[in-house]
Amino acid sequence: MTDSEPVPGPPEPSAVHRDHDHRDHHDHPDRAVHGRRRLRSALRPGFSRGHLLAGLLCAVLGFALVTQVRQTEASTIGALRQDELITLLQKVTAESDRLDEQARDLDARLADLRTGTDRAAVAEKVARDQLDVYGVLAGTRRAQGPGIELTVQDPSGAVDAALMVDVVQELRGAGAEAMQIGGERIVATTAFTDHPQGQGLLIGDRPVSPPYVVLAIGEAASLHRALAIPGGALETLDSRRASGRVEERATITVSALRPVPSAGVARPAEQATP
Amino acid sequence: MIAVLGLVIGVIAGLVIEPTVPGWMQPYLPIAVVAALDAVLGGLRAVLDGIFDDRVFVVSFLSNIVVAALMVYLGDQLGVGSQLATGVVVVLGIRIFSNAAAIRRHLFKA
Repeated sequence: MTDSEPVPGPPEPSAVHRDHDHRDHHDHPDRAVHGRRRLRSALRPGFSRGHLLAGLLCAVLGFALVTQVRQTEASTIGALRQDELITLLQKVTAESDRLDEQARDLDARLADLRTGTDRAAVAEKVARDQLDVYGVLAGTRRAQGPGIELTVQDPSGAVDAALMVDVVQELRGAGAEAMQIGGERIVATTAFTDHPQGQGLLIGDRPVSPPYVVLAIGEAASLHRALAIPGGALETLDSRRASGRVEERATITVSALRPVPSAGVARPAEQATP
Repeated sequence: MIAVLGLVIGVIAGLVIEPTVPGWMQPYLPIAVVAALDAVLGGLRAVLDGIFDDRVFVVSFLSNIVVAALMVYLGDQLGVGSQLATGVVVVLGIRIFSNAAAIRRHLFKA
């Protein structure tokens, strides 16, 4: 850029445009040669205050260009205008609300599933406990707990089935939960019979001979009192020249079992009809 | 010559210093850069037309920047900032294209 060129007009784009339209009528090769010569002459070094100012502005442009490019690379949000930021904020808020709602739904479902599982677990535990209770009552499970051991000595064969039933009923009345005599578990359906050959008893189908060892699980003191009351089982035994000796134990194990009865044709009814 | 040198120096300075754009300037700098680009291309075209003038170049450069930034500022105040910025960029882009076409005709006869 040198001052040798005349400066006929301002380089305002509109003015240049008019000028350009006007020059379109010239032939092109000539104009191109002029343009290249002018560019070459412009690239020759030359100094003036105006040139320095133009160079300074170009430096500012380069500086700003690089700065803006870096800024655009560095930040995506910082360069946005206010309304764009508002739109972005609304979008983010809506998205956040949606996700919040989703989180609440999922939390509720999780809580539902948790309580459902808890309920099922509790029901299962109750059912298992009941199974244990029924197993002990039906004689299909071993039982353990505090209780008494009653040993009946009967040298003269005075103890018959009726007396033994009395003893068992006394114990049941005092709250005995599980009992066995000899090796036979005593349940509701257990039969007591005098032995046909005269010696001992048939308990269920098993012959049992003296001394009879009765194991009963329950509150030991109550069981003991029930047997020892005046006119009770122990007194009756004494009056028949037999003897009974009761020991209270912290732990009695009733290990004799009954086979699990199989229900033949009876099924549980849904509901009792009046 | 000095202009090309200045451009190179500015780019190098920007790369070396790595400045951060102050917040108040962030919406206007991109538009101002595009406006300045338009002014520089207009100046180059004037050189090729043989009608370049330092004073006119400086004035058009500065006024381009100021007007562009002012329009964006006005648009922001009116609530149509992004649309007006788009409009300014489109207009400047058209001018850059037409200037580039004129420069091309000068240099390549086509």
